[in-house]
Amino acid sequence: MSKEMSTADAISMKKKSQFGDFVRRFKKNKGGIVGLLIIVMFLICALFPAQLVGEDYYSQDLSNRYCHPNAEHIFGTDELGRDVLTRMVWGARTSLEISLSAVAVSCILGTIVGCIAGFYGGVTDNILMRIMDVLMAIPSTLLGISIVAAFGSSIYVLIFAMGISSIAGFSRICRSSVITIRDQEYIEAARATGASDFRIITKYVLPNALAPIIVQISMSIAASILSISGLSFIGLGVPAPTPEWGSMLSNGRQVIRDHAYIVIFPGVAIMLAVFAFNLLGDGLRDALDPRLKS
Amino acid sequence: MKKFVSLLLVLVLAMGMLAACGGEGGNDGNSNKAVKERIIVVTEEEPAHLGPRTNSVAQGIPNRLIYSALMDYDYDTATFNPDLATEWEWLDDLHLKFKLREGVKFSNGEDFTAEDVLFSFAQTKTDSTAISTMAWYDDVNSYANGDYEVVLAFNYPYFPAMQVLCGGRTYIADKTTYEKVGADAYQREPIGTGPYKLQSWTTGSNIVLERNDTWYGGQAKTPEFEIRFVQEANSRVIALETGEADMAFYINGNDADRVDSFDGYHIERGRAYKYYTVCLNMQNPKFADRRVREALSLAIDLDALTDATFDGQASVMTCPIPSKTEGATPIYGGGTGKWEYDPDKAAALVKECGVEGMEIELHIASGGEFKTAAEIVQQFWNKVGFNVHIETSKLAAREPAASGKPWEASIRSGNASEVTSILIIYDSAFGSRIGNNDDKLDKMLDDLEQCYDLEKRKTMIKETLQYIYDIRYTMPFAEVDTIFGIRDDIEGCKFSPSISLWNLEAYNWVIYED
Repeated sequence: MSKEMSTADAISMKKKSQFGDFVRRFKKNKGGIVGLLIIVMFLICALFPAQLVGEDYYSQDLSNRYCHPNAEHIFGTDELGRDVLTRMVWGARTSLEISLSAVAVSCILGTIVGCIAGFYGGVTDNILMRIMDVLMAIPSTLLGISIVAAFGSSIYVLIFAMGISSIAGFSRICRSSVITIRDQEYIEAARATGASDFRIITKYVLPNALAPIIVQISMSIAASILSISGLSFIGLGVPAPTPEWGSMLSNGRQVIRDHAYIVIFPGVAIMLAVFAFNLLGDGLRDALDPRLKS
Repeated sequence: MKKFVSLLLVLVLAMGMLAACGGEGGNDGNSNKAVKERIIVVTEEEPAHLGPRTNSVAQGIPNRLIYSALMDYDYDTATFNPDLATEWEWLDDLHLKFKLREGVKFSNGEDFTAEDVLFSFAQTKTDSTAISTMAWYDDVNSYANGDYEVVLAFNYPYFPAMQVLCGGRTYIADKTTYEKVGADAYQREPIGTGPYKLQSWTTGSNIVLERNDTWYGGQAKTPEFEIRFVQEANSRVIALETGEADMAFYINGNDADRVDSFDGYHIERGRAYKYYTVCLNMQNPKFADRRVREALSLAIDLDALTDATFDGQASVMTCPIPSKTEGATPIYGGGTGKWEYDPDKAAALVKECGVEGMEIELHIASGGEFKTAAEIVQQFWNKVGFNVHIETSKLAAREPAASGKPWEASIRSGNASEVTSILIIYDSAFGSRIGNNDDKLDKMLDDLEQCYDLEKRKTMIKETLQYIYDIRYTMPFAEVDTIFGIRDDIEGCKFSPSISLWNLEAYNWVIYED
C-alpha cells in the first residue's frame, strides 16, 4: 500500500514539476508574457463588453457624426454617430468569437485527420494528405470569399469558412508529431496490453503530440483574426450593424484624411491582437520545446 | 534694315516650322505650343468589355471615344444632332428613315454602310443587357435602301427611341470584323468609327486609346487618351495631388475642397441623373398590405438618410425620378415634395397590422454608400417595430436576376436620363428587384413610352409618378452630384454632370505644354 502511495505521489510530483517547468520557462519569455497580457485584455473586452462600455453599440446619432475624440467619446464617433470605443470593445467579442470558434473547428477536424493519417500511414495517410494538399492549394482568403459568396455572410458561415481553410495546417502538424510517436516503445507496450487503436491514439499518442498543436492554435488565431478583418473589409464579413474591426476600418477608409481616428483605433486593435497571439505562440513554442529545457 | 527684317522673318518662320514638326505630340493647328501627348483620367471601375452595346458607366468614356452612333444628343439644349446619320425622317409612327454619312471608315479601314447599322441593331435582340431597352425595335422589318439609307421599323410606338439611338446600346460596329472574330474578341478589341481607337488594354490597370486618323470628324486634339482604374476615391484624389492624372472622376464630396486647394486643379460638380431608392418586392406577401408599406415609408427620414449617406454630395428627391428628368415635379407630401416622416404613425400602423417584429431582409450590393444607407434604413425600420437584417451581395451570382431568388427589400441606384428608361425598373418585363405584378402600373408605363404628344406626356408622367408614390413600393431618396477633379489648363473640356459621360466630347480635350 505504502509503495502504491509513493508511486502516485511520484507521478503527481512529476506532473506538477512538468507544468511548473513549463510555467517557469514561459515566464522567462517576456514577449510571451506581453502577448498573454494583451490577450487577457481583449478577452475581458470580449467577455464583459456590456459592463465595460454599455450595451448600445448600434444606435445611431446622425446629428453627431464624425465627432473627433473628446471627453464624451474617447475614441470619437463614426459616420453614423456611433461611439467608436463602444463598437471596438464589442468588436473584440466578434473577432475573438469567430476566430476562436474557427480555430476550434479546424483544430478538431485537422487533429482527427492528422492522427488517423499519421497513425495508420500507408494508403490512408496518402489519401487524407492528398485531400489536405488540395485544401492547402486554395488560398484561404479566396476560399473564404467563395464560401461566403455561396452561402451569404453570417457569423456561422465565417466560422465555417475560416475553419475549413486552416484544417490542412493542423492535420500536417499533427500527422508529423504522430509519426514520430507511433513507433515509440510505450506505444508498443500499450499495444501489447491489447489496447484499441482509439485508446492508444487518445490516451498515449495525442497527449504527447499536443505541444506543436498548441503553438499552432495560437498562430492560427492570429491568422484567423486577420482573415476575418480582411473579409469584413471587402464587405463579406459580419453583417451590419454588428461591429467588427475590419468593417470599421473599411467604413473609415473613405474619410481617412479628415477623420483618421476612425481607422487608427480598429487598425491598432487588429495589429495588437495579431501581434499578441503571435508573441504568445512564440512563447509557448519556446516553453514547450524539450530541447530548451536545460 | 530690309535684309535684317527679312532674315528675322525667315528665322521666325523656320523656328515655327521646327516647332510644328517637333515632338510626337505634334501641336494644335491653332497654337504654336506643343500638345501634351497623353491625357490621363482616373476612374473607379474597369469595364467588363468594350462591345458596342454599353451597359455600364465604366464603358461610357472609352465607348464614346471608340464608337459613333446615328445621332448625338445635346443634354444642354435637349436637341438631336447628326452623327453617323446626317438626316432623319419619321415615315409614320412605326418607321424612321435615316440618311447615312458617306465616306466614313472604321478604324481598321473598312467602309461604314447601312449593313453595319442593321447588323449592330440586330445584335441587340440577342444581347440580354440590351433586350429591354430595344424591345421596340423590329429587326425583321427594318431594311436598307442602298449603302447609305436605312429604315428602322418599330414593334410599337416608342417615344424615347431617338434618345436610345444616340449611343449607349446602339453604337455601330463593323459587321465584317464582328462576324469574322466573334463577339468576345470584338468586345476585347473593338473597332468603331469614333475619334480614337484602342491601343492597349491592361486588365486591372488601364486602357490606352490612340487617335483614329480615319475619323470623319477630323482629328482628335490629343494623340493619346489613357483611362486608369483606381477603385478608391482617396487614391484618385492622390493621383491629382501628385500630378499623376489630369482628371479624376467620382470624387467624394468631402474631398472637393481639398482638390480645389491643389495647385493647378479645380473641382467641377453638378447634379447628375444617378439616384438611389429603397425597393420592396411587389410579389412578396409581406408587403401586400399597403399599410405595411406605408409604415415602412413613414419610418424613414429622407433628409437624414440622404445627408448621412452622401455627406452633402446628394440632394433629397422630391418625386420618384431625378429632378433634371423630363416631367419631374414635386410629388411627395401631397405635392410639396417633402417626404412625410412620421415614426409614431408608422409604429401605430405596424401595431394595427399586427406585424411587430416582422423580419425583413434588406439586400444591398457591396459598396460604401449602399452599406451606410442600409444601416440607416435598418435603424429607422427597427425603431418602428420591424426586425431588419442586412444582406450584402458581393457577387453578381447572388443578384436576383442570376440566382432566381427575388430580394424582399433592397437598395438600388438608377442612372438613366430619360423618364421611360428610369421607370423601366417598374416594368413587369424588367423583373428584378421590384417584380411588378400590377397591371395598372404596367399599362401606365406602356402608354407613356408609346406617347409622342409632349403635352399629353406631361400629364401621363405626373399621373404615373403619383401612382408610384401612392403604392409605396419604392422610396427614392437621393439624387447625387457628379464631382470631377480637373486640371485648370485642360482646354475644350465641357463639364457634364451626366454620370454616363456620353457627351463629354473628350476628342476636344487638349493640354498645351509650356
